[in-house]
Amino acid sequence: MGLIMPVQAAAIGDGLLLVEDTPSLQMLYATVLRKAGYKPMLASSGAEALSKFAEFGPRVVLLDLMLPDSDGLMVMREMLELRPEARIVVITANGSVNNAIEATREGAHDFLVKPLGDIRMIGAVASAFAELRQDVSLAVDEHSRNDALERAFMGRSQAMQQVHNRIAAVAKSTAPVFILGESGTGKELCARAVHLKSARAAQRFVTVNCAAADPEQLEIELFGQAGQKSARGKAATQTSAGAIARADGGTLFVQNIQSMSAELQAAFLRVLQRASYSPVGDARQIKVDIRIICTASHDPTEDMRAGRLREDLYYRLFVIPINMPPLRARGEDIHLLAQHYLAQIAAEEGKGFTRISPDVQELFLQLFWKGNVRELINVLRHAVVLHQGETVTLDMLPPGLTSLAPQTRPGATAPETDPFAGLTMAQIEERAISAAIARHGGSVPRAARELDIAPSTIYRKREQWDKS
Amino acid sequence: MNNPDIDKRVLDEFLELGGEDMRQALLAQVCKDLTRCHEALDQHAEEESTPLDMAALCRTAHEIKGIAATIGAVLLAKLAQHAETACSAHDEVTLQALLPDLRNQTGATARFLAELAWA
Repeated sequence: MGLIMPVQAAAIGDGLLLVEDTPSLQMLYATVLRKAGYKPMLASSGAEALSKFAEFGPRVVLLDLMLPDSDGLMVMREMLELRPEARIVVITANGSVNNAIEATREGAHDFLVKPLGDIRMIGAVASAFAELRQDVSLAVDEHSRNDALERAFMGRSQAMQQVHNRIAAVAKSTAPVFILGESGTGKELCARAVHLKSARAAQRFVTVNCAAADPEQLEIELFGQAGQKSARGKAATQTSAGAIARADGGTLFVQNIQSMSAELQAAFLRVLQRASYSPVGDARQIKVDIRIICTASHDPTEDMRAGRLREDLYYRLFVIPINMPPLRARGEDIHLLAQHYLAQIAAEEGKGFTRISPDVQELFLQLFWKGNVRELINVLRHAVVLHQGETVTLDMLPPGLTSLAPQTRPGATAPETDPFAGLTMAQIEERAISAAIARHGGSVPRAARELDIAPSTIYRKREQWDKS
Repeated sequence: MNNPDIDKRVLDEFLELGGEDMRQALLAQVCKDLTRCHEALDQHAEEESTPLDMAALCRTAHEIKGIAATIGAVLLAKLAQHAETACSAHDEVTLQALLPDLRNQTGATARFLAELAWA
C-alpha cells in the first residue's frame, strides 16, 4: 500500500538501554519508560552497560554519568567508538552539569539533570529514536520543542499546577482534548505534554494547521493521496501518507479546525466516528487509531454558533478543555522562565548575562504580556543583543516597555495613582477586553456578555491588535 | 520522630509516576537504598581515626543527592551536595562537619519513608 507505517513501541523499545546504578532510580526510570511503551534493557554498572551494548546493540542509551565502577564519560566514549551511530542521552545530578555539557561536546545526543521529569525523559528518548529514523527535521524539531516543553512547564504557580493536574488526568484517557489559550501561552507545548505523558508517547505526534493550506491541499495533507497509475497503466506510484496515517497509534494535533471547509469537516467527522479513513483517490477504508488534540485561541463554542464549526464535530471534539493561563496570571513563574530564557539567549549570542536585576523582576510582574512567553523572549533578546554585562537592568529593556506596566494587576497591591494614567483609550480598551477574556478562561462570548458588547466586536478588535 | 524536610508535592509526584501498582515497590526500594547509604555513612563514622575514604564518600553523597532530589527531600539533597563538593575538593574539615547531619537526615528520611510505606 506504500503508507508509512508507524514504528511500533515494542520494536523501538527493544533498542533502549538504561544505565543507572541506584536501584530505586533505575526502577523509577524503567517504570516511566515502560509506561510510555518502551522496553528498556537495564544495567547497573559501566561494565554491565558495555557488555550489553556490545551484545545487544541498543540504538539509544540513557546513561548515568556517575557509575560505581567507572566514569560515565569513558563508558560513553567506548560506546560511540563501537557504534558511532548510537544515540546516548546522559543523566547527571544537579551540581554536575559541567560533566553533562562535556558529554554533549563529545557526542552525547542530549543530557538530563536529576531529578528527572517524566516528560523531559520521554521527550529526550523519543527525540533520539526520531533522529535514528533519519527523520532529521522531526528530530531537530522534537529536540528543541522538548527543551521548550521543559521550560514552559517549569512553573509552580497555582494556574500551572491546575494545568499539570489536568494534563496528568487526561493523558491516561484517549478522549479528545481541546486546548484553549491566548497566543504565546504554550498550547502546542501543552498538547505535546499530553502526548508525552500518554501511553502513545513512543509513537508519532503529527501536527496539522488547518489555516495554513487551501481546502484541497489540506485534504491531501490530512488523508494522503492514492498512488497514480503510470502511463502504461501498470505500476502505481507510491501512496503518499497523510497526517492521519502518520499519526496512527499516536496523536494528531489539529490547529484551527474551524478553518476546515464544511466538506472536509464532514469527512474528518467520519474518521472520528468510524476510526477509519480513505486516502484521496482511494475508496478503501483503512483502520486507524489516533488520539485527537485541538487548539484554539478562543472558545470554539462561538465558531459552532456562528456556523464555522459543525455542531456534531464540535461535540465530538470539545470533550476535555484545558485552559493555558496567560503569563500575567502565572505570578512568579515569570522569574523562572525569564532566568531560563536569559541563560539560553546569552549562550546563543555569546554574551555573559546571568542575572536579572530586582527592579526588572518587579516590572516583569507588573507587565500585561499580551504576547505572553513569546513577548518575554523578545524583551530578553533585545536586552542581550544590544548590551553587555552580567545583569539585565531597566535601562536595557526596549523603549516604552516600562510605560506599559499597568498600575493595577490582579493580585498586586492596589496603587494609589489612577490606574489609567498614561494610557491611550485604545490601550485601556485592549486591557479591559483582554482581562475579561482571561477572567473567563479564554471564552470570548462570556467576556463579551460581561462587557455588554457583541463577540464579533472582540474578534474584530483582536484582529486589529494582531496587525498593530 | 521529627519529619525530615520533604517537599510533599515532589514526593507525591514521584510516587504517582509508576501508578498505584508501583507505589509500594518504589517506596520500599528508596528505603532500602537510603538505609544502605546510611549504613555506609555509619561505617565512615566508626572508622573515625583512619583517614576518610574520599572516593567512597563522594559516591555515597552523590547517590543520596540523586535520590533525595527525586523524592523532594530538600535538606538532605542540599547536605549531600555540600558533602559531595567537599569530597571533590578534598576538604576534610568541611566534610567532617557535614557528616553527622548528613547521616542523621539520611536515617530520618529512610525511617519516614518506611513509616509511609507501612501506613
